[in-house]
Amino acid sequence: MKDATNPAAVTRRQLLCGATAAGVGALLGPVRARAQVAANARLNVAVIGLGAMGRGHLGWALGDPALQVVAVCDVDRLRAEESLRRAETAYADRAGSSGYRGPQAINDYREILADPAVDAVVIATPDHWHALQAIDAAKAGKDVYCEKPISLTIAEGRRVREVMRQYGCIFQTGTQYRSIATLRKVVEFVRGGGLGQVQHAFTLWSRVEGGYTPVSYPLPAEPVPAGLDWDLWVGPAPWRPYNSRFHRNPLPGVVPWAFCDDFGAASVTWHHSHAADVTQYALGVEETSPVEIHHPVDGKFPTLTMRFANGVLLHLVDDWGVVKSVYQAVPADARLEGNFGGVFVGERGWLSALYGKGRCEGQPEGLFAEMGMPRHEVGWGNDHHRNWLDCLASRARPQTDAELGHRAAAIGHLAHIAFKLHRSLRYDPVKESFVDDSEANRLCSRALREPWRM
Amino acid sequence: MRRHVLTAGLLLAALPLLAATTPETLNDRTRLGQRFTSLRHLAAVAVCVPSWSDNEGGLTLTLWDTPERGKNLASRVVTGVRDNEYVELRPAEPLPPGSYYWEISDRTGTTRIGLYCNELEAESADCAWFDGQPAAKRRFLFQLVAASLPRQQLTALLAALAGTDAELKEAACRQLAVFGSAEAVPALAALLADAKFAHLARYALEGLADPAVDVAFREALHKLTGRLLVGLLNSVAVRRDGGAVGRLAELLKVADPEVAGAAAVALGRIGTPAAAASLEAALPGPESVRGELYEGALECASQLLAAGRSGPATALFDRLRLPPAPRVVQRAATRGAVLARGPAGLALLQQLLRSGDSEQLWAAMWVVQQEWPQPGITLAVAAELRGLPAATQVAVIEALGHRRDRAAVPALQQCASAGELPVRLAAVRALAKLGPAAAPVLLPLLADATPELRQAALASLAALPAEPLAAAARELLAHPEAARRRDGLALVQRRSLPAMGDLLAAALRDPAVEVRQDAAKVLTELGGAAQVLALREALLTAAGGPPAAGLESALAAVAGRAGAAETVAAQLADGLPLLAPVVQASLLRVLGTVGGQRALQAVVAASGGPAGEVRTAAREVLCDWRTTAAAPTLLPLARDAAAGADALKALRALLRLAGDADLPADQRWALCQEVRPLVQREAEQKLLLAALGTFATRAALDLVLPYLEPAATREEACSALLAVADKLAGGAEAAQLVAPLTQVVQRSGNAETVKRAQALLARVTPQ
Repeated sequence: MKDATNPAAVTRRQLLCGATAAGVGALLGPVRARAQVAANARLNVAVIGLGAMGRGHLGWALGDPALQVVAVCDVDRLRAEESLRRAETAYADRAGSSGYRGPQAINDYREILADPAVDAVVIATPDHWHALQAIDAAKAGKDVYCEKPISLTIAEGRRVREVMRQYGCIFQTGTQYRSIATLRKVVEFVRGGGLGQVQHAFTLWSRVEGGYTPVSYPLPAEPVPAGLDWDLWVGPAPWRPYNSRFHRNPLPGVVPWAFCDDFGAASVTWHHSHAADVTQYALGVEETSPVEIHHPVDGKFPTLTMRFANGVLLHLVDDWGVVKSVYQAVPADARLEGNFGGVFVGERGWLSALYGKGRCEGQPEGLFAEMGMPRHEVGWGNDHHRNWLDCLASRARPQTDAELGHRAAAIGHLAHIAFKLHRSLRYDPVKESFVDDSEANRLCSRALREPWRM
Repeated sequence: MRRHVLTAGLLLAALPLLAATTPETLNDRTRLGQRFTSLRHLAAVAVCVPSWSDNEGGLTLTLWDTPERGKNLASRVVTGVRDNEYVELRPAEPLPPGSYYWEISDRTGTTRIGLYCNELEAESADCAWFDGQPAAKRRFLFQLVAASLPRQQLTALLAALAGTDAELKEAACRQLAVFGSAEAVPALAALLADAKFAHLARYALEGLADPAVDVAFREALHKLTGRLLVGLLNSVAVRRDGGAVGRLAELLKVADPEVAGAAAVALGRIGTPAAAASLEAALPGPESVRGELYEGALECASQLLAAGRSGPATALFDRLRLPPAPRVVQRAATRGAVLARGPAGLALLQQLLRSGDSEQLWAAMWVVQQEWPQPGITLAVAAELRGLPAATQVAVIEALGHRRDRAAVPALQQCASAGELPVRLAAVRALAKLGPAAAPVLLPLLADATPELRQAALASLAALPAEPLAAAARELLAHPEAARRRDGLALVQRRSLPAMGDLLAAALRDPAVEVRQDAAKVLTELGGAAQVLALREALLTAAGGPPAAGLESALAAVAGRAGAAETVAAQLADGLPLLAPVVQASLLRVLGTVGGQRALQAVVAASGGPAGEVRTAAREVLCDWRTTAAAPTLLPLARDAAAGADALKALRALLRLAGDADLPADQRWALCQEVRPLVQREAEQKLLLAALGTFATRAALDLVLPYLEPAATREEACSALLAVADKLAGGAEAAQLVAPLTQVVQRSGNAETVKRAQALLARVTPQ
């Protein structure tokens, strides 16, 4: 896979100890030293999965002078070749030559992992691949940026965390909303006690086909499109024949498979992993999980509600109107627009940390002065990718490492399990298992289709 | 009832529908219902209810076995129904596939309430019912929600496993994965050799905490081959069945590398001393399975450590740290070797730091930053710094920063104060992460001779928590050197520090002009009502000098967002005529930003003064005034032929106000009447037409019509006419629009305008 003309021949590991180039800049690794050593010390990355999210990451990677995209990978040959052309064009433009050929189009991610020239991978495949590919990458010595949710089950997330530690892999979860400067300011304020004791938090949970969990019913078999390796697409999940609802070209939108329980996690995939990451961080519970999950059938709360050991309640709501009309937790004239975060109600007032519709809200207004936030607008600017790159060089803990990515996904899985079993549950966040509930515990893991293993 | 928009949903009993959707009210009947067939287990029905009036009406939704209402399956009373709400009814348990009947009845409230009904292409038993009578070709709008996890009887599931229906067999495995017991093990184990269902059998068995599963798996380990055996080995690994170690050790030696590799990894997951012994005996093994053998061995060492067997774990890690283990395994084992030693691992960690080897340093950096938070580690690592090459020092310093342990402050202070610049910079950056204790170290560095270091120190100070940052800023703002005072302002600005208003106000009086300018910039962003007077005072003192422009901007920003406009305007306008003209002009512009009655009074007074800087500024502010309150002053000015250019500006300002749709229409209409006689030139005629286009009256339209004639204003007149007509088209005067719209069609030379006029004509022409 390695191209002799590729300027990325110097690996970051060599650079870390100054084994090749001289001087401090070389030792610091390509990321920290990019200003000094520029093009001859890029980090070699591969993008695995070239749907909507993967293309976004590819665009970022192609545009970052610290990175060299050495491979693009998708089980759909059309997608891989399309991304290959895009990468070649980008590098040709950069090099001023149309003859530049750097990356390769790969069908099977295992070929990428076998290449010692690849330093790190960006995983943007369907959800059922995330944990497995991240684990395989770590075992191959690659660092990982992984789209959310990082798991489809609690066991998968635990295994990801375990293997990332075991192999010393720098793992960043793609929950970038916490890295938006404005949102971070709000959630750190809440986390630091700015609202006093937080009593309630709210976040959105969407329906899929009328219910609250991804669906699991057979779809009719359709002819597999040319160039698509469907067996590899299904990979570790239970076998299903090809159906265009799962995958088709041109792209039908972001994460089309997410409605299906075997391949995705519906709300968790769409937005809740992001929201959970932001919310749990604000509540200071990002390295734990709830101790109780109350299904509405137990009559304690009108919507599914989690209770953490510190007493904070996290309510899942269909729409923000419920926070006003049913819980009456914020004034009726609150706008509560946006997603990917939460609404926090504490002793001193309330605040929203949401993205997508403009601005943070809260009362009393003086809270914003305390935060040093004269303007409430929420922009997109975030340093999530940059944080990962910095950590690749320093080996420091990224903003949303495997532990946090796991916990953000896990809280969604807990909700799914309560919805599936249609009852309330008790959970031990240390053992990460349900208390005296074998049925719920059996929903914490799934056997992988042969020959796949984690 | 609002127009209903169909939402996406899973219609399990989908029937061909015709397009027509009509509401049917419960007010005219006793009950409306729908028979339906669910092909899958049913969690809920959701019925779309138009209520014509939000949150007022109510009804009872009931689920029955049949339209004859033999058995009540679930019922729910709903009140305060939102218009077009999907009212949901969930039975206590999911219902098996089959035909059912839901019905609404017992209306409450005074509003109309009901259902939407579609026409069917053909008659169906699954049809709507009106007061107990079927309407075979009609169907109400509703959704079915499939149960995500139905729970059938074990006997039914076992029967499905024994049957030939693949779909039922798969569904049974999925349910048994949650609800199955030891009773299901034999039937599921029988599928382990079935290529089509082996995975689903493991899917059902892998999570069942019953020894019977291990027994079944061990038996199958002797029978299966190839991929099916690989899958089984992976499940054995997940279950960590120590009883399988013997067979797995045998499988390490088979020719199939996939099987041998899976056995190696499974032994690692099981992680017992016996498993470790099997793996160690097999290492390094043939090339085809070497990777899996080392992966399994590393896993095994980790499992031993997790089980508290640190001795065997250390021994295995130490073996794996060396060749011929793959480099990835060596690095991971090095990390494990440090951790497995416990406190004694510190010596190994220090050795790694000094090694100069990239893989070892890699592992050390990980442990320092991610595994060992104890303060003692910080001091031990910091003690190593002095002996390391500069490049390694940088990496270790960063790691100390990431530990966020203030115990590192003395060591980092030493690194920051002297030595190679990259090391000093790294130390300064790392100090930013160490909290309040870092501030006294960073402050003196602001005076360092190296600009890069000074910048880094400022950035690090700005990254400190709010309290020490505020303390540092206060200290700097009181510093005898102007450069440090500017640093203090920079800190306040970077972090938008609250409660610094008095100090910022004092900085406006600083002897150094650069400090005063910086203070104005900071206040532009952060200032509030409390700083209005200080800024006004500074503006007076500057008297047009270098900081004046910045002060005026700051005052405008602060006064504009201060609230209490009348109070602020009174503060600004106090003694205005007595001030220097250049200051008066500045304050008048600021008053324009504030607005309100008091501000206008001051501006109006100044606009009538003698010619000069003050009057010019006042008239400019008047011409930009945002309300019609300025009109009484602007009108005479516009009519004053002697005013020249000012008269024209005033007229244009009046036309702008007349066309501002955010202002009251009656005031704007009065303005139009007043200024119309003054409008002579083509440019102002076009402005007038634009203003007229904002009205929705026949009178406005009549004023537009004369401008259709001259070619110079024809297109603008057509546009204005269309704008007015569009607003009138739905009203009582619509028919009167035919003639003027016809004129637009005949006269406009713009195809798009003609098209719009024709479309409007079609709307307003009586059929």
